[in-house]
Amino acid sequence: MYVAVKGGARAIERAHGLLALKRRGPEEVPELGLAQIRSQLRLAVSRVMAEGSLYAPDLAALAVKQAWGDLVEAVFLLRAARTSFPSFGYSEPLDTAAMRVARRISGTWKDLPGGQILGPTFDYTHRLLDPALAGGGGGRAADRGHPEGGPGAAAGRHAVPAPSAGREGGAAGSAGIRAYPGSGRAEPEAPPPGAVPRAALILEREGILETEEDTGREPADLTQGAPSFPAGRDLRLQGLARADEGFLLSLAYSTQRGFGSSHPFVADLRVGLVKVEFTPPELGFPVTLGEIELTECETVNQFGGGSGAPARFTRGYGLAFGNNERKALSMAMVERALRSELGELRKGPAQDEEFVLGHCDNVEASGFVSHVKLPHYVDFQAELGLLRDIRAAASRGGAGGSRARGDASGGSAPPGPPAGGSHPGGHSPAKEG
Amino acid sequence: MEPDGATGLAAAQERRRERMETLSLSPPEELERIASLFAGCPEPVTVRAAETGLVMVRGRIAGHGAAFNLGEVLASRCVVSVEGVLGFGYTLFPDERHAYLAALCDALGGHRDYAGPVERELAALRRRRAETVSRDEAEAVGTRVEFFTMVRGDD
Repeated sequence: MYVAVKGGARAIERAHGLLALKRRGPEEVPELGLAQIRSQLRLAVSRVMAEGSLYAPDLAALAVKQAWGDLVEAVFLLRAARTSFPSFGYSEPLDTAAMRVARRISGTWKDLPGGQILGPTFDYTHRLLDPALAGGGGGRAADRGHPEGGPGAAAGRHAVPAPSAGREGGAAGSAGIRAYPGSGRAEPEAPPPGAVPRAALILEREGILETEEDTGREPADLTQGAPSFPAGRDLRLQGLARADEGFLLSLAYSTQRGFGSSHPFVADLRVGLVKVEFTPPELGFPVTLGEIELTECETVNQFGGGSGAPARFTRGYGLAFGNNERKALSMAMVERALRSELGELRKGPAQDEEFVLGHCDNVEASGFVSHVKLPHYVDFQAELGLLRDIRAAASRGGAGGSRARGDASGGSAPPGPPAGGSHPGGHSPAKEG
Repeated sequence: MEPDGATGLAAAQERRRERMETLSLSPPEELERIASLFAGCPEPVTVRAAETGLVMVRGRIAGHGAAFNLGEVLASRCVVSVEGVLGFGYTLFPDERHAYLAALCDALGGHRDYAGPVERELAALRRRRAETVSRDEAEAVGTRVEFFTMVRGDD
């Protein structure tokens, strides 16, 4: 039972005023602008958009600023903002093979159609703090990706010659996959690469990777109602796409450490821009709304098949708004772990979809965890009363404190007032047992 | 409508798609400039006022399988008419002015008197975007990596 409290309006107002003041900080320090947050704290904005489940960089940057850098709070703000807009409908499914890639790597093949493009990455950095960056100088040249140093590299930037792809034998060609245009010789005027084929196609064409069909089924939508279990792969993906990155990261890690292992290889990890198409009912054909940044990860995992079907690789999939590499990778691993349809033995929490989907949303989790810090004065008075009754009854019976403690925590009815109904909150599982 | 039936209709629709895409992918300032070039044209009538709303973006399982709902984007839309020729603006982000300008330019682009000059402006915007695209690509391609595996000394 929740009992309302009243009063405190003036103190609350002052606390919010103080928050605004502290958030701004010393006046001699320039105020952060949204454009700075958008461009210089871009991964924070990406994370807030992914977990807020709303691709809106300006609003996400504002949320980061307003939340004083607390990204979970910022996610909450974005989710709340979302509710004030009408819905236009559903987009056409994205064509991620047509992504304009800024980064694309594969852990399974060193030579593959489309090549390996490192893009702007923390990989292979030495993780040494850079004092030069502290001074506003832009940081170490090497960390900026200009090995020759200095901004002189910028002059040649628009005509960076591609290192020779040097593809021996052309495994890609033999698999019948279109080679990456311009991969042979550096040509600054080469046309845009267009589609970068998915790496897993190589295995799919050989028949040793499970295939994925477009069933044309209308996907479930978490925003339109509570999920029901068992969930389909569509619903799981939607839940994971907005899930807390830290939660997914730990779950993915748990599968690697033996709690539901399905040994992943990263077949394809890419970050880039993809067009969003929408079919307005009054036009009846799809039109391009614009481009959004996405991170996509496809893993190839150990084997499925059996009962007549030949053994083959299975796959996990991750897709997230913005530049969210750790999230997309963790998502793909957890998505794969959740695939109970493959008939694997359930050994870890990452394989339990009700557990994962029920606890992965940080707006829900933060709300319920945080509510316990709000006034619970009446609840607590009731607990206090109960404890005093138990102790009083025990001392009357002369049985000593140990039995009373055992009774209070053990769940059998304590002497004195009955436990049932004496906890006014009723939301504490320990008391319901 | 095109005189030669279904193919003409398909071609007209494709042109419309291209025009609308160019308008949605271009910066609103550019559309502002184009709109100002046609300031002397008949007054556009707003058929549906610009508004911002949510579009649920769909992905595909494994990139090519069945659809799933990924998350939402904010989009803006608007419908205007220039002498009865309807123009539709569908743009990303909560920018109602962009949607209005896209609708206006779409209507002008579909109007027999203004289609030519509008198309010339759009062609310039497409060239500009192509430059951006190839610059982005050159940046990315500059980080293309060639890994090689080491052969162990003991065979």
